[in-house]
Amino acid sequence: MTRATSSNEDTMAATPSEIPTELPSHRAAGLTEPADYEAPMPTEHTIRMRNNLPVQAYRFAAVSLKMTRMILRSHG
Amino acid sequence: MARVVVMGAGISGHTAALHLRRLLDKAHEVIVVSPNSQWNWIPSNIWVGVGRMKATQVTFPLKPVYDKHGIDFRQAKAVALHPEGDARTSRGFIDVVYTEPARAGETQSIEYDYLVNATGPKLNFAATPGLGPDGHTVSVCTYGHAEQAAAALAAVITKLKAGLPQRLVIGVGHGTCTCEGAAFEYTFNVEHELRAAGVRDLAEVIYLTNEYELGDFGVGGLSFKQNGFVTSSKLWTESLFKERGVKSILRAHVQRVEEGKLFYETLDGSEDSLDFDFAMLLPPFRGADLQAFDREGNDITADVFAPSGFLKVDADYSVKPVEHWKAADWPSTYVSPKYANVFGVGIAFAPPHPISVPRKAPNGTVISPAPPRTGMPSGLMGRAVAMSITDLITGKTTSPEHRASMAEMGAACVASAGAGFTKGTAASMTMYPVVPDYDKFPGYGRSLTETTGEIGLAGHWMKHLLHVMFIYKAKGKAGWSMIPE
Repeated sequence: MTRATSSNEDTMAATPSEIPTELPSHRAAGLTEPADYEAPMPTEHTIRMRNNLPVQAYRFAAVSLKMTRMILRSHG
Repeated sequence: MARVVVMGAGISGHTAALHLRRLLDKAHEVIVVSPNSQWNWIPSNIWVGVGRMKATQVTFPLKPVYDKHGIDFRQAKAVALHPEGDARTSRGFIDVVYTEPARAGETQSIEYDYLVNATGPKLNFAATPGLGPDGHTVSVCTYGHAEQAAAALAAVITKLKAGLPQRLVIGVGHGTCTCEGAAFEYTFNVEHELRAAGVRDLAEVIYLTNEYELGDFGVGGLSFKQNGFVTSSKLWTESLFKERGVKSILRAHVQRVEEGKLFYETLDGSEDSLDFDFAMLLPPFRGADLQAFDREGNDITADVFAPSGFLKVDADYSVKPVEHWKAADWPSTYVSPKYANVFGVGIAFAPPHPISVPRKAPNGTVISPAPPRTGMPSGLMGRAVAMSITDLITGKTTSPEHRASMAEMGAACVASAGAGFTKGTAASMTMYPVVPDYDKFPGYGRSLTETTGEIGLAGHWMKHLLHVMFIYKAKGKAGWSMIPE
């Protein structure tokens, strides 16, 4: 966002002859860049916890329990 | 003595055959007809497709398992269905063509008392010119395709290591594809492999899909509880893509593929092309090429099968607007409405309508996912039909009583990447039910307790456990029937 603002300001300040004539590089139709996603980024702590063995051992037990309940319910 | 013929030996057909053999007295015959000699645990093809597993780790030969259990295996492809018999017999029968090398091309008619159609999908690469291993893209739909994909990916990584930037496009190759979860899994795996190889910075990874938004997965998206909020699979998936630097092209239909270049249109009517160095694009599915004939030999294919080639079963196929869709539209016994001794399970049954909202581009091109019906749902359908047929044969019931509606069963999708006990990672999702039921679960259509989304090593362990468990089960080893579908 900062870079875009700076670039716009530069263009605004330039005289017509100095405005770049090259079109911006082609962006494929419908393409979303990672920075454009509205979703939040995980924090460093969250990412670390995803591979923390004690935390994941607990999550494994919790996920197994949930999955077992869902499987049993599905099996009638 | 009754004879049950199962067409197909994938998850649903194999499950049905094993349960039929377990439940029925040995006086009754169980015959499996499948063109493939190998059983394939398809969810693990993703690992084969990135070179983390060999094909032999996700397959095993069917014949020894069937010999052990007393199931008659015919390695052949079913080509025609005669549910009323013909002038020669009043018993229903199927025509098959052998694919077994020793009998290749030989034809045979196999009579049945009960028929289970579990033929799975025809991989319809032809729907998009240039799509597929015979064209310009790779696939992970079969273990053979996945091996080719792994080789192509290895070549791309070699170029990246030489300092050449590469664009990798992963997703679906047609506007009506299903199995977006598999494409998501493969994207996640490829991205992980690029990082592991130390070449991620030179690689551009693009997920190209027919989904309206990320996290749709052909089931209209999910809602689940996370940190005290109800969040959506859209946000959850977007967050993962943002973290991993994966770009996306949504609402897309691939029109054709040329060498290193694909052409596509999007739901808003835009058309564009995209150069690529590697493309893994899943094909759309349609039913196996089966024709049906009545007793006089008239073609009744359109009565027995939907236009998509899938078998019509006990679903509500009346055309209705999305807001009138109900959980009850979905089949539960999988019996053909026309023939009470013919069943269709797994991908072979015709769904009543999609689960995701159907959408069309201004020119009429359909760009929305077809409903997924693989994995646990397929296994549950196979088991329910096996139990119903057993009851019918033994005279316990006069109509199929065992039910396995996708509106009353859950599913799990674990996208696991990497290898080793501590080095892997996974994005795991569970949902209950697969088909939303807004009467039972107002607001979200699914249980917020049994619908989950989680990222971490735990899912990686879970996926390995499932891999080992399901291959053990499919081999019919001791206690196999105690393992859930």
